[in-house]
Amino acid sequence: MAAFLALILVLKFQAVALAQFGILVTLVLFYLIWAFSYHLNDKTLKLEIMVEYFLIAALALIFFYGILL
Amino acid sequence: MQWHKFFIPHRDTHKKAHLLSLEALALYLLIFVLLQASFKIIEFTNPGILGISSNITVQGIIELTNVEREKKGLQPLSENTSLNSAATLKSANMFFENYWAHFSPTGKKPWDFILSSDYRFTFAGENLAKNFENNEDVVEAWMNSPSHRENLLNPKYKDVGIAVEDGIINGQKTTLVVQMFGTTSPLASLPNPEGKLLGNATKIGPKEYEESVPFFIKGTAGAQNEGALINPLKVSRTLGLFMIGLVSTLLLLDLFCLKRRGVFRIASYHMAHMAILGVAGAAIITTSGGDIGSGLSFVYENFR
Repeated sequence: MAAFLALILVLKFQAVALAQFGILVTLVLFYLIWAFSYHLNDKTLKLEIMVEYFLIAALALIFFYGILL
Repeated sequence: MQWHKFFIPHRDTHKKAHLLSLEALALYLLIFVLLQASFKIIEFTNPGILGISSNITVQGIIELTNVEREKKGLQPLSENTSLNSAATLKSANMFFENYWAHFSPTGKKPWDFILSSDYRFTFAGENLAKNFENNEDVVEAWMNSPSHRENLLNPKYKDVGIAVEDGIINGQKTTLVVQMFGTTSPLASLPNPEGKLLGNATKIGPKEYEESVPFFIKGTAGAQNEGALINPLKVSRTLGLFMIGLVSTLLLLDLFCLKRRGVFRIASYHMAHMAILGVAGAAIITTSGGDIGSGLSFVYENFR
């Protein structure tokens, strides 16, 4: 749901790269907080799993940051 | 070599594919970071190798600006040769002093260029843009920014001048667009539908106005009219989309294989990964990559 909302906002602000980056950063923070609480509740919280979330988050941010000239 | 282990989970241990391992993800991150770092190094050591070529034209920008004004029932702006000259002086100065801003590092102000071109404005404004590829993206970006839109749709302006120049800023070839707006009519005679005559405009006093120093183009702007060898925007966009596609495909393959095998693995939630990569991919595809800074308007407050 949050990703869908972020997608709508990203498409709405397609002419303003900085706004898109801000939306992506917000989504990434939400994604990391969600991941932590989901796995904590599920009793599957492990360092390896959280590292994977951080790497995916970092990839998403750096891929977009790379085109902000 | 068992190539399938790179793409699908291990048959017996159901461990993730090699290309989806933590080490692989860290490697993708490292590759991209090194790529961006190499762009910065090239900008510093070999300015002009990196850059974006464009199809932006003076007439195209003016036409699109007037289309937007017409939609709001405003009078179209007339192309003014003095403002064209002012915009050209400004763009040359930006390349010469290597800055991306309304005010130069040596203290030159936007109205210095306008007054140098013998345009005795009462109300004027400036929009800037760089790293865009076409007229439509430039005007759309301005229209999506409140300060730039305020300039584009300001009923007070009657004239416009545009410069579209190629040069190098911060080690990167770019096409710079400088848009200067203005009117020479007394302020009291200007349309004022919102009742705020001066609005958010920067106010210029008589001393600053009358003592503005004429400015002439000095020196050269750097490499001109030669295509850049590498477009960093295209390279970053292509590699980013490729990596997003690769990781998303591997995540889907992983899900499919585990479901088919009837195996449950304690692991991260693949759908969440794909969602965030999907949003990043959409942002990469849709963004133009250009920069517009902030719009600026200024008024000579004594000229009523």
